Amino acid sequence: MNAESAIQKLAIDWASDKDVQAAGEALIRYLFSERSGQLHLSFRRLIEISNSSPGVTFRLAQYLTGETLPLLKQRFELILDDDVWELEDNQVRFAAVHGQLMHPDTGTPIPHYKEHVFPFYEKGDGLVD
Amino acid sequence: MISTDDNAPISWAALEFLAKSMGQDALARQIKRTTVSEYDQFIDILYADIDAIVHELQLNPELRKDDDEDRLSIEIKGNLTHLGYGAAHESKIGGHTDLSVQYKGFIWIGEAKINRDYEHIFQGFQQLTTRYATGDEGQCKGGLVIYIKSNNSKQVMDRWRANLNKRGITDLEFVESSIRPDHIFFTRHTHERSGRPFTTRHVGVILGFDPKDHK
Repeated sequence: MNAESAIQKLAIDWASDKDVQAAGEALIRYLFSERSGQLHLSFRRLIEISNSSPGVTFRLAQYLTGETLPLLKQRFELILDDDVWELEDNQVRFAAVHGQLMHPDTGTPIPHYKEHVFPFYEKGDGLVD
Repeated sequence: MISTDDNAPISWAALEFLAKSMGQDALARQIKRTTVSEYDQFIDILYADIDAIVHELQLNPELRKDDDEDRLSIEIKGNLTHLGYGAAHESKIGGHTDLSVQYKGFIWIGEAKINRDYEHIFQGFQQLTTRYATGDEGQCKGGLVIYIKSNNSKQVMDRWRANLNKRGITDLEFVESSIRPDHIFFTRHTHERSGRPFTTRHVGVILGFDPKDHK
């Protein structure tokens, strides 16, 4: 897949939403220009690259982390003071389902974990050669 | 304290706040979707997502009054695609399915019918369970979406349930839904081809529009 075919696919799937189309085109061009390196993009960075509102960026991220055009993979990291842990999918899922995040080292629940956990985005399968 | 200001990193809490326009639980649903690893997890989040889409569809029945089955199903398919599912309308799986969803190797098939009459709805049930779904592992659950354009949609669902119960389907059981119980129920029966239990989720979509103020 290349940037042009990805943009074409996006345009078909989002034909009725010009905001997502424009934001998506900018983001897709960036992602393909950076595909040879490692990606670690914060949600704030996605907003900047796509030059769109948080709402549009969220919708775009949902789409690009999915099955049809998998250019991104959403991950989460836990930041407590100066320590950072990249969370596994099963840890994040447990938190989303049960409303509790266990500390990766101690196994104890982290109070107000949603304020200490940050989403970030890596390359999805569609960007891997 | 949730910070969504221009420079602060965006935390889970902040993103949850920013995503609220897509529904109270939009971020939680996205996380449940992207971390799916088992068939039942896929089914659970797919049903939550379909319910959210149906909720939106029901908000403006006046815009849907001339829409046929295909148009309505294309709308659901489009919304599922936006959420990241590999969704299709009229894809070829033993015939042309109204809705098929593929995600992380799992498949779900849905058949959709307008409540023209109960024979028409039953045809959808038969297409789903005897034509499209293999009933194999990872494909033992499906959906029947019923677009109800008449009034008293609860009665339509009650009567459909009673009608289905009289059809002599092998080992048919009814299971209540905890969500929208007047408009959603489950059936389980022995799938003919596979011989395995097959579960169908019957979903009534309220699309009646009969205002009495401008007659």
